[in-house]
Amino acid sequence: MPMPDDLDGDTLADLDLYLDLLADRDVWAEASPELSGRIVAAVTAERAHLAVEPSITGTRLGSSRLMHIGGALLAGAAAALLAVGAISLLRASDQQEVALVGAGSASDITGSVDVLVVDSGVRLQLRAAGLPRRHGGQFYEGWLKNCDGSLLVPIGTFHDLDDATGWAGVSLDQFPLLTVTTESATGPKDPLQGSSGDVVLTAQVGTPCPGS
Amino acid sequence: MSAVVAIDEVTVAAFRRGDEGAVRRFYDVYGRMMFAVASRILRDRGLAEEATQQAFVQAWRAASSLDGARDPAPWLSTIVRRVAIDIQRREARRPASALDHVPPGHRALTVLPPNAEMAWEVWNVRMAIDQLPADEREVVRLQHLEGFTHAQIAERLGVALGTVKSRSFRAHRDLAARLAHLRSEAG
Repeated sequence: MPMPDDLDGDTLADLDLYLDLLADRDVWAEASPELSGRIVAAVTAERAHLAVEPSITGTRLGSSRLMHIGGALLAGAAAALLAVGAISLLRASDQQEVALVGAGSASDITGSVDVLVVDSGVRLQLRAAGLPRRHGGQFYEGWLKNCDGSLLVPIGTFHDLDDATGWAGVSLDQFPLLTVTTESATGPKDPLQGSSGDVVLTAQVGTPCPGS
Repeated sequence: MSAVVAIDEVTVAAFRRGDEGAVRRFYDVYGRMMFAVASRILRDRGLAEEATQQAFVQAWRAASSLDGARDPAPWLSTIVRRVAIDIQRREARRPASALDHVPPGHRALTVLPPNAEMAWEVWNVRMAIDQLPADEREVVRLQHLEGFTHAQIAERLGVALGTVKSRSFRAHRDLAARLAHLRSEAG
């Protein structure tokens, strides 16, 4: 490739080291626009998760120490631990498991999805055994869909669904249906939705739509 | 010279708390470079997104050790490289078809995981690219990624050949200036 011929020797030497990287498609690669939202949801979920875990550890630590603390302190600590435990239970109740149902070419496949609602969105952990691993530009993609099917929100792309985690920054009240489609990097897609439309799994992750 | 410190201490403190706006700000500033490092290692967009996401969560979990006065870029580069290598190893353990059927360039044919220096070079090259004005960046992209000549670029963009040459000159001069620190760091 032609380099500008009026660059000085040091400049050309500096660039010469990085020509391979400048010509590397992966260095120029762009993530999907949804990744930002998925990362925010992931960090928020992690924050909520850790808010539960330390409270459990705290309970155990507290139990061993309480034997060495006076009665007044014991009562205060016990009250605090009860409060933390109650908060933990409330947070844990935000997670629910629902069934994944096979569709189309995968109608005999079943599985489950753990749904965790957090402040900034929802985490969906999918498990469905029996679907082949897809590679070489072929993959699965998860979507949340609104009731009339006019809007799809991508939650992530996966090579397999043995244990796949997706994220979305939308409310399950507006997008209560989960679908998983097979996609190809070069395959045909619905120009408005970005999906192939080849659905292999579905789940009702929010309030059922009217009339369903 | 190292990367420009684009995140202030207030944002770092907010990131530690898991503040949504601060997480977005971190992603806006560093996400492209993290994704480029992951892509370069994994050669797969889906896996690279997974690595970037995991790296952000790990970074948040370890953010208490982050010095708000320092540039987080080398720290984030290290985290995303390690996460990507872990994913690469995980993928390598999966059952695969015979090597004869693996296309050239597939990550299964990669012999060694990339070292930290290479990841840092990818980070800085991507950052230097992103800092170029859009018209200069497009000339560099067409020249290096697509292999076009200046004349072909001029025809494609519908501008004069001299315009392409001047954009190319400025872009390469700026890229060289932004990457010069890597040689001194390595040397």
